[in-house]
Parts: sequence; C-alpha cells; structure tokens
Amino acid sequence: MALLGMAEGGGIDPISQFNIYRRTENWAIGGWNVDITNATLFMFLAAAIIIGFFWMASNRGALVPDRLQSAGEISYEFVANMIRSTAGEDGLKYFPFVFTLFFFILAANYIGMFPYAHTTTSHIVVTGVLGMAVFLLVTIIGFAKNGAGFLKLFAPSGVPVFVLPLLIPIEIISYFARPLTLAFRLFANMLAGHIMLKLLVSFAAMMAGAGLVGLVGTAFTMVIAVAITALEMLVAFLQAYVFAILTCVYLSDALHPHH
Amino acid sequence: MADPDDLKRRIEAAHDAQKPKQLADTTTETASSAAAALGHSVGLVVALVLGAGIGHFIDTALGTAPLALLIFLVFGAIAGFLNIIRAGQQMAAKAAAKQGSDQADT
Repeated sequence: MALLGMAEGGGIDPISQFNIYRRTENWAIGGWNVDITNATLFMFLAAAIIIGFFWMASNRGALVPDRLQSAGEISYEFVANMIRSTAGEDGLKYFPFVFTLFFFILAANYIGMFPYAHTTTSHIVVTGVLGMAVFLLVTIIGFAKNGAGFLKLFAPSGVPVFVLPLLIPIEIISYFARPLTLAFRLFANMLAGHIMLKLLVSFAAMMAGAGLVGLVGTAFTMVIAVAITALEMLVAFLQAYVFAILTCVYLSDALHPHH
Repeated sequence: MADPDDLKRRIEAAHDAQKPKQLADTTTETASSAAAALGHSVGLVVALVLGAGIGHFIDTALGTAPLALLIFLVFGAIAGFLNIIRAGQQMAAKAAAKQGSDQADT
C-alpha cells in the first residue's frame, strides 16, 4: 500500500493499490505467458522470506537454541499444537501442508503491511487457489482413507430416513461452501483493511490543506489510522491462523468422518 | 531448618509459576476465540449465496425458474446456520473437555 493515497486528479483512489502490472515483457514457455507481475514477485518474496528464515533458524541446530532458533522452534510447536488439538495425532502427517499454508499467508499478509508493498492475499484469485488446494486435498484424503464411507459425512448416522432428503442437500452445500468461505474471508479482510487504511490516510492528507480546523482533523484521522494499522497487524495474523485452523478442522473431518 | 514438606511445596509452586505451556495455551485460546468471532460470519453469507447459485444453475438447466432458486436459497440459509451451530457446539464441547481436564489435574 502506498503511503499517500492521492490519485493524479487529486481525488482519493483506494483501489489502484491492488492493480497488477507486468514487470517483464512477454516471457513465454511453450506458448504460455509467464510474465512476472508485481503479485508473483511478492509471492516469491514471501516464499523467499519463509525459506530464508527457517533455513537460518535451523542450520545451526544447537542443543541450547539461540534467539533465531527459538523462534523457529516456537513456530514449529505452534503449528504442531494447532494440528494436534484440532485434527488429532494422525493429523500430524499433514503438518508440512498446514505449516506451508500458514506461513505463506502470514508472510504475504505482513509484507502487505509495508508501504509500497503489494498484498497478494487481497486478490481472490490467490486466496481462491489456496482454498481450492485445501478443498481438493481434504476431499482426496477423505476418499482415500474412508472410501465411500466418506459420503457418510453428508448423511450422519442416527438421523431419521425422512429427514435425509432435506439434510443431504444442506450438507452438500455446506461442504462446497468451505473453499469459498476460506477464500472469501481472507480476500475480503485483506482488501477491506487496506482500502480503509488508504482512505483514512488520504483523508488526513487532504484535510491538512484546509487550515487550522483541517490540521486538527488531520491529527485525529492519523491517530485513527495508526490504531487501524495496529488492528490490521492483528488481522494479518488472525486470518492466517483462521485459514490454518479451519484446514485442520476439515482434515479432521476427512480423517474421522463419523463422530 | 525449614520443614522439608514446606520446601517441596515451595519448589512445586515455583515450577508452576514458570510453566511456559500455560502461557502458550492462553495465547492460542485468545487467538481461537478471535478467530471464531471473525471466521463464522462469512460462512453464513457464503452458504446462502452458494445455495442461490446452485438453485439458479438448476433453474437455467431445467427451466424451472424460480422454484429451484427458492428451495436452494432456503437450503443455503439452513446450511449457513448449521455451520455456525456446529462451530458453537464444538467450542462448547472443547471448553467442557478443558474444564474436565483442569479438574482432573487438581
């Protein structure tokens, strides 16, 4: 997000921060366009930061960890505990997936908090692919582990037969709503947060030119903008956490469909 | 000389005071409550819209407008509420289980 939200015409333009533009000229592999855009660039950056951090945190492997290694170990423990408490011990097999997902979203969200950085998770195409990956993985695991028994998720045992025609469509809708919910929640939260920040800061900048009363308004708006920035820092973490914990809950459903 | 039982009790108290696990537990708990608060509202809307979408698709495929749309809109709304009720039940069950294990500890 750019610090000054003034568009060329002098009005407020809170949307242009989400524009995607090419950084390369017509790169192609086998007829497919593989141009690097600012979105791909910042996704690579997120991946590079995570790999760099965990490489530095784990390459010493000391018995008594230093600060960096402790941070790495705490990150590991945090995700491991999240999986253990929601999906159970057998969910730990899918630790790498949840870990990658959580840290990619976390890094992408926090990179977006820097001025002039691009927030990749504010695009539904990015969050949609992430949600789709979770959905496909959970569905494949569900059928691989339980076979046709996974379909019992849609028709819980102990339900009277005459309720089933009503219940099955409802369960199917709620199952297919999962990836959409995951994608939409992350996208909407990041988008709304960044628009709000941009509006507040542009408003402050515009009011600064309106005399003494304007300066008071600027100061007031800036205080709110700082508070919202703090809130966005929390939201950036919470959205990554929600995404990861819901993935664990869905994994738990796939591993133990009848409970 | 201090009473050895008293010393043991004081060592245990000191151990309890430094338990790092306790801190991690409360952090995760706060995070999950906040996550639940933020998380489940979107599910309601998405399920409703998805239900409407499925209904609309069936309508255009079979020419039954607006029957399927209306039926699946209701299904979607129920699915959304069902998700929230389930999430609430899970949280309550977790809280009850935690309370039980806390009592077992003491």
